[in-house]
Amino acid sequence: MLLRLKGGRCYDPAHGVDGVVRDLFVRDGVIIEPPPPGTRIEREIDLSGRVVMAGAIDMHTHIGGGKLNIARAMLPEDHRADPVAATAITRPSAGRAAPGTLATGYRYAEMGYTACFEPAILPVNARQAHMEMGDTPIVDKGGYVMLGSDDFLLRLLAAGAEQQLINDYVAWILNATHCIGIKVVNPGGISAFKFNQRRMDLDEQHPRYGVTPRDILRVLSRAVHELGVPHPLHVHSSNLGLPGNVDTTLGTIQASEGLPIHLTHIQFHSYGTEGDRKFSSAAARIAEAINATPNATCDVGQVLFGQTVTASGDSMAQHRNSGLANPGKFVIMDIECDAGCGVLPFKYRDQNFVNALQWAIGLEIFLLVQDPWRVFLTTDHPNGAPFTSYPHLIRLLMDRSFRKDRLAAINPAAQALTTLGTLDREYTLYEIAILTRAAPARLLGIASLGHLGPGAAADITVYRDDADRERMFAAPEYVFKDGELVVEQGRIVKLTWGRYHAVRPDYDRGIERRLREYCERYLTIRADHLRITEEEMHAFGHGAAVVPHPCRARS
Amino acid sequence: MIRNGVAIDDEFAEAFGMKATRVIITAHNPTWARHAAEAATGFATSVIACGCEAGIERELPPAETPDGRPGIAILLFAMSGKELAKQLERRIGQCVLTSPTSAAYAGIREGEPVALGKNLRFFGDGFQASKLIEGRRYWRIPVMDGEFVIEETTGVVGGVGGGNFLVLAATQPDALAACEAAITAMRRIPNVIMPFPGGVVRSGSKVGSRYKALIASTNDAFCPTIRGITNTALGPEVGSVMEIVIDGLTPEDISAAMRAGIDAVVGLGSARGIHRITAGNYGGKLGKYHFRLREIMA
Amino acid sequence: MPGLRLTLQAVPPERVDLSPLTPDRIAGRSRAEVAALPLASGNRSLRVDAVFKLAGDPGPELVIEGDGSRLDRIGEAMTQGSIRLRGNAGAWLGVGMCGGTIEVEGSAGAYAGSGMQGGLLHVHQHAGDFLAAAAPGDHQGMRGGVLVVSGNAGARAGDRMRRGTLIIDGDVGDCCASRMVAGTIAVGGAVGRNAGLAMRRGTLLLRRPPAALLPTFNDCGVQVVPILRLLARAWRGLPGPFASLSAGDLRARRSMGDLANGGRGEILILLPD
Repeated sequence: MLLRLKGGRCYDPAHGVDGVVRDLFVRDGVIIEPPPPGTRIEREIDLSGRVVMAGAIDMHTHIGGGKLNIARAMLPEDHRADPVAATAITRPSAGRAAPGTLATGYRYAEMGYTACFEPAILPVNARQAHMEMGDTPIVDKGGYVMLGSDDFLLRLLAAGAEQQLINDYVAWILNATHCIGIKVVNPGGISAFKFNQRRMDLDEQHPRYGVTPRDILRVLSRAVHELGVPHPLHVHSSNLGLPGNVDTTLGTIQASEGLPIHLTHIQFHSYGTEGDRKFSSAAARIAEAINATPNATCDVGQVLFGQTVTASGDSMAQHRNSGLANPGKFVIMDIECDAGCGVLPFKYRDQNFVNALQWAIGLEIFLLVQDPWRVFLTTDHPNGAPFTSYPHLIRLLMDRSFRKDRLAAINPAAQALTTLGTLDREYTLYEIAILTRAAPARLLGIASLGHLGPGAAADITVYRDDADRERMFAAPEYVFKDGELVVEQGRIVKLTWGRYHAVRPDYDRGIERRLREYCERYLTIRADHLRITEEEMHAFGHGAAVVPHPCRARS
Repeated sequence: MIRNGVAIDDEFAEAFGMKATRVIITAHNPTWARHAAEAATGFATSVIACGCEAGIERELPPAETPDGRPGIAILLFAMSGKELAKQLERRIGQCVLTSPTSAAYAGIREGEPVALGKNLRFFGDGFQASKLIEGRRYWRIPVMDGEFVIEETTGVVGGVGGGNFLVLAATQPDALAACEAAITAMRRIPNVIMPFPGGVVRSGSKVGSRYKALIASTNDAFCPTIRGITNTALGPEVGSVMEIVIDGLTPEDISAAMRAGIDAVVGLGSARGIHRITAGNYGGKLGKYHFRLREIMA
Repeated sequence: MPGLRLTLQAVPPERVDLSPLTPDRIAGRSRAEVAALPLASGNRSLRVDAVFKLAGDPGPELVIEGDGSRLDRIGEAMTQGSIRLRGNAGAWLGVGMCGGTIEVEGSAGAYAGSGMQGGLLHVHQHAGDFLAAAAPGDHQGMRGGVLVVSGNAGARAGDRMRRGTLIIDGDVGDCCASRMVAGTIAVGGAVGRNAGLAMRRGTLLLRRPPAALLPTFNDCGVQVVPILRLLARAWRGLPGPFASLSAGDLRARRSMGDLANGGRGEILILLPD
């Protein structure tokens, strides 16, 4: 079937298209070149006056895996308070901070998001994570598999293993877990926590293995680079949330030694120690470093006020914050030899000095990083705020007077410590399209997403232009997923299940014998069972395909 | 103005704004309620040296107390809310908490809440417990005779201190009898206390003194024994003067009490040696409230 | 009192969420508007008039007639007005109620008065398990108001109760006042096993001695309990025998516990006057 989307104002930064009125043609779920005149158009939708973008991509959102299930189990009140009713084609679900898989998919789609990437999949939990993500309707999904505190890798490093061996291990893990990137969380710190260490700096030796976080970052970013995995090492730095962690973050950028590095939820890593309360914004220093380091990218992890839950693999940081849980309940968990996790509900309050400053720091970073291709719009859902608050965040970025009004309402001591009031930058629609579409697709190495050119998956979001950007981005008029109209006037009209995105770098099979022996001896699961088959993935994802994206090995 | 042979001067009593609260003290029987109340309002005749002015307002029958036991309402007045809170804590802590079978409750609900049992509860050393009943919090403090129950806060309202009148009589017994009659009548008036011993003060004062250290001294114009050598305010027929000072929650309460007291004095009349009623003031510049005798008695 | 009367047409096949129908929420609407409101029932949505026959017009009083055993969340979070059920109520009766009154002439299901913060809730017959208890995941059960059950109540009555008054004139099941944080529970009849399990503070007032107290409650002897005078006065005018509790000196055997959880709670077993 040939579909023509007629006369919409297109924002397609991947092709430099900034608000140009043009027609889009879709056939078999793919955007195609305009067909020759006279070709029969089966369906036509008039989009004149509408804003058209590719489907949005959330490149860092916790939508699957063990810790989300812990959050769900721990927060029945979140589900009670926010039910999602069934419709003729959707099933009931619930939850805002820790929504069920169905609510997650429905709400992302209703906001015009068509792809989500879960950033913390542990190899031993990968099956569970993919099952949950597979049960998340409409959106495409993918994951970053978490290494860096796993005993196997740390043993290799401690033994001075060659980079090639580490590359093989990383590649094997990516293949076995069907992930698209490598994430490192508090490198080595989660493991050190198990040896009673409560803080770990970039150059501090691990109490057991003797390696430092810097060693781990260097080796993993090199592995990712040499394997040709498009997505740079996805780094959750050490010392999350600690005043003064800006130095650690700047050190982390250096630790990649010029290789690509992605710093995630950088807002939580941009704190100084100035002021009476020894807590201040270091957003300017961070932004300056990002601006000056072309190999570095970041997503913000914006904090927005309200109730949420923080779910992180960083059990060290979460243990430190456990006293702040609100309501007062939390889980800190050890996960085999791989890592750990911590889940604690949290309420960000605009009258709280620290929370208010966190809010301001995130916005400062958005406004001070000059290249929109290297800063991504996230709240680290649900850690900074539930993903449903993205439209509000977009309005904060695009509407200076709205932002200043909100700034005037936060804790006065925090207002005094932020330069946010002096930042007049307003994001344009084109830049928002970069942040939420073109840049994430490019950073992930997915050629078919994030743009409106021929060959792209026909994931298309159509907005009514509205000066109130929050209202505009909260409820797109149409959302197409692979050419099918899935959302109309903010309501799901068709249910699809999306696909998985993964990478399959090559590796030397010799690593498998070593892994078999290791798993047999130390883990609760065998290496052959760590590996998820493609059949399983199809079954998890309601028949979803796993799309491998090319890796160009460099060594 | 002359009533029953008693001259009522065209004078006014000058009174001041104060902070006030009422506390209801109950006990196993009226005797023990009175013991606690008298101790708590003892040494509270004048803010000048006592910190507050306090007195028993009236006895309360069981039906009128929060816990259905015999009780006594006391009123406390101080120059500031802060001082009142301090006095309240000391007096309730030392005189009511300590008194067998007692309990203490807020006697005023409106106004700013001030700690009643809120801090005294720590005497319970962690064994104290609270109960919220109909929106009010009560503390239960274990003590040697059982449990001391005290409401968390009581209300502080604006009050008036320093209403007064002077009774000028032929002899000391005449003045005393007249003041006793006045106090008996005035104790029936709600919302007022007469803070001096028995309600009567004989040492009226004037502002200033020949001694530098003193800010007030005896009111020589009303002292009969030196009338020959001072600028006396007394006629030859006056042999003794006594004063009644009134603190009340509102100016109306003070007026009502003054009227009741003066009525009682006038009732005795010149036949019982009462010659004149006058009132004390400082020229009218210091106090916010002026109670004109002839308006009150009009 | 003027108000809307809802008569159940038939016992619904599935449970129906009645939370949209409180006097304050339907105030100012016409009967026709109320008739068209959606009610969640399982995974479907039903119009009010598909479940009830409507009479009268919305006002401060709402009357529901028929066997409402499958009508859940009646009076949820209501702030004013009154609801009278001429029949039974389902689960979560008066959950999070803040004010007004609810009267149930029959019995109520589980979790009646859970998270209640104010108002008066009276169940003429029996209440199910988790009366005035915390909802799963919540830290607090009943937080205020007065809840009276004239009949019996199930297990875990007053679980994690934080404040307010819970009166059960009949018998109560196991683990009454479990994890209780504060507040007052009075029981007229027999009390089941493990009363006061993990109780932190608060008062469990019993007319009849339980068969056994938990070993983590320590006897503090027979005492005159002056606070009961205040409670007895506050309870005058409430339905049931606790309203006529003597306002004089009341003596009770006092046990404090649960010593496994701080031990500042009390179980008072009233002695005859």
